[in-house]
Amino acid sequence: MAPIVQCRGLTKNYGRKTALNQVCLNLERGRIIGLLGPNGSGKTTLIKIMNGLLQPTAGEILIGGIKPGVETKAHISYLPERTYLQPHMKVMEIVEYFQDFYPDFQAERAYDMLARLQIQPYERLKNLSKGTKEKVQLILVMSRNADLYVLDEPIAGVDPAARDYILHTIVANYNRNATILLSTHLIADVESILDEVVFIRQGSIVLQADAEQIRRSEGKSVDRFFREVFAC
Amino acid sequence: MLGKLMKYEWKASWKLFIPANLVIVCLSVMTWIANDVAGRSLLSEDRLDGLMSGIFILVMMLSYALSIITVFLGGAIYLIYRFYTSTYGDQGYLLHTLPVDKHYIIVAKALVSAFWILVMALVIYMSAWLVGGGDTKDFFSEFFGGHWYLPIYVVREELNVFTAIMAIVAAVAGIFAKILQVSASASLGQLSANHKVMASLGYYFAFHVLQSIVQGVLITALLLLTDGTEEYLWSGILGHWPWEFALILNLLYAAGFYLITWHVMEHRLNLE
Repeated sequence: MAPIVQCRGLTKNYGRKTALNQVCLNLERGRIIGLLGPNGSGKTTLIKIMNGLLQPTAGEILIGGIKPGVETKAHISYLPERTYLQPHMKVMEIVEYFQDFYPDFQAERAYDMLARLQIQPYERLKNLSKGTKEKVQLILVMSRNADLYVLDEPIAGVDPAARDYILHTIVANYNRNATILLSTHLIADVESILDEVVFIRQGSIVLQADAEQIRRSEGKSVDRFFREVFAC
Repeated sequence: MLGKLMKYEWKASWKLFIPANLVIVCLSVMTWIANDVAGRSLLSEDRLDGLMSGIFILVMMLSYALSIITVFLGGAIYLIYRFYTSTYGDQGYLLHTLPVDKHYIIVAKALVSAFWILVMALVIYMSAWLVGGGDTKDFFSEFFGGHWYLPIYVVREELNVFTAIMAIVAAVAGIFAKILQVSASASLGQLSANHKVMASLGYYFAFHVLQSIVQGVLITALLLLTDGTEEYLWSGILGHWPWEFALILNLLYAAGFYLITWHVMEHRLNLE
């Protein structure tokens, strides 16, 4: 079976600025992978290209062996780094929206997670706090049985207690045969759940390795190793 | 998927457009009642009374016209805002990651927008009929009794139901062309690295100029080909095209703008 993500010579320029530079990357199925890099390293650009929100300047990206399109979107569950839901909608309407468009969406799972977080289904999104909105989005994304979960900065901007809940939600709810690609620069918080890490700097992949292997070979945590690699 | 997309477009728009249309209806009834009452005083023997009634009617009619224009423009601006934010704003991150064909997205947005513009146009048309129509007691029997096309007859100078219907079909095609012109402009504008809204406005006006040039060339060509009169030339410039030309042109514009929108969404999406 083809890797869930294959990038070959993937390049993205914004005018004269190169956001991704000849990225070659294979992501295997059934792994939790951290896409780690400092701000502006190209993480979000790579994720947006995977989701068809940006077009590469050069190179190719394949999701499950095919180019991003209608078919790949049915298999990717994407959490952007911003609120993408209509603020006037009620939580239950948003659940219905996901149920309408994603055949793999499990509404019961979503309502169960909402109840555990005491988020009322009839609340309008505009009346929820920023952190609660992010939790609602994560619940929606993790209530799908996708092949690839792409989570862009899922724990940025939320309190430590919420971070724990979010990470627990990710690990407890994902499809075991699926891959989770989790982009963040808060490595210490996510390190415990990662199988594999991809370090990205200035648009280039500088390392792709097993998290446990890094800990054994380097004799330090991934967070510590990251700080050394990306030391200013 | 098209039906589902339309369902959510409808849900996002009806809360604005139903009240907007009710406002037009209320304004029309209020203006008619006020004019009716004031109109009786207009014929009064007391000159001052008649003058005051005349001023009152004038003010009411001006307020009515301004209010209707405001409501209509407000509705149109909302549709443009809704298109931009849901397609190329933050909500676009959800829209463009749905497993749906881009054709469905464009068609759903165009159909719902056209529906609301048509409803508002129809309500305004009936409203103008009510306010300016004189004997309002027979409003419904007159309007639905076949006289609805009389104003079109005045414009087209042909008393023919078929012509009136075809003129409406051409106008509907024009509405779709305008909606798709907005979507094409916004789509091209979002390709810009900075000032995306300004770039969208720029494209809109550029399309407008281009359309004016095309129409100018066609008018000249028609004039030459038909040995037309100056009168015909002016009627073309004023927009009183024969419905055949209006329909063909609007369909061509709509198709062109649709293709531009689809191409950008499918191959050039740039949600930076």
